[in-house]
Amino acid sequence: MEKQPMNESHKQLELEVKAESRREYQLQLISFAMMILLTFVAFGAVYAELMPVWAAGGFLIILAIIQVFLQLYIFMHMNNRGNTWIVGMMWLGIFVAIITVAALRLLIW
Amino acid sequence: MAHAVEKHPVTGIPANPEKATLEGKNKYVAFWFFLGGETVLFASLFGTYVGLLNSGAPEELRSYNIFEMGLVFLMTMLLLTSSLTSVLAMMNMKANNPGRMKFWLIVTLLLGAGFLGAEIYEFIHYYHIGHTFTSSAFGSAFYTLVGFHGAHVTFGLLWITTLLIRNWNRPIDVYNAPKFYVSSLYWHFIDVVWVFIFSIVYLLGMVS
Repeated sequence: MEKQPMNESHKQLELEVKAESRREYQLQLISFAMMILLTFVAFGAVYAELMPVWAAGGFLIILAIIQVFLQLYIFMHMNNRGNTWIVGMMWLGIFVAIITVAALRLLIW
Repeated sequence: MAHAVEKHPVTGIPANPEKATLEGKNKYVAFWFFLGGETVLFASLFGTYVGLLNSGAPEELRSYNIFEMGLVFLMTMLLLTSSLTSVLAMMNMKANNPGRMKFWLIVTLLLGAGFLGAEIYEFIHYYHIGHTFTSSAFGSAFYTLVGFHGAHVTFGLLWITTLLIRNWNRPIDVYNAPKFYVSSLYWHFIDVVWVFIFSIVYLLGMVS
């Protein structure tokens, strides 16, 4: 019952699946390479003491945000079709998170 | 299951087995909502840490004197790589390759265990030099934030191990695929939090 006839259209489909999976694989590897690169830049900049202290915070946080976006959108596929609610709720979480950090930072001294 | 789901002619399972049933879809969406909540929870710990950075700590126990870059770099690489191996496991799950999926999940577990081991080593080292949970406000904020992340790693390791044992001899289907998928989302989220920890806690702590 489950057996598929190995006709031309099935072979074609198999090739398409393989091509699709290769594309996905490459995308994930590129994303991983970029994360490694961002990590090296962050550690390297601190190790070599390239930045004045006042600039370090903003620089490191920007690198972290880029890396987290790669995680969320490529590794975790947050932007897949039909994920409107997911994207909305995550952004709501990020919005509240920013307010929380800012408030605590300003309130504690 | 209320109705049969359409199987992909090449892989023999639905194209997205984790979302092929209503139950799977619900788990997927609800887990993302949970991660949105976790974002806020960790934000409160980050805010506390940033506010209390070096507060009450003597000079020799301040962030720029105790953090070791080498160990943190190693931990970052371990966790980042484990995030990739988790992606590879999920790609093999969707392609209906249970053997390779299990292999990559085991690699993920080993990398995660390496990370946890390094963190325990780090905490023991701090304990010996006097940086503890109760030694200063800085210590309390540090261990609450980093320790809470470490607890997440521990939970993730136990979760994935349990899933592997329970489903070791089972084929991939629409019943267990959502379980694997959601655990991999959790694992990625652990790495998301770690990116902010190594940037804000460690690297920023070293320059301040």
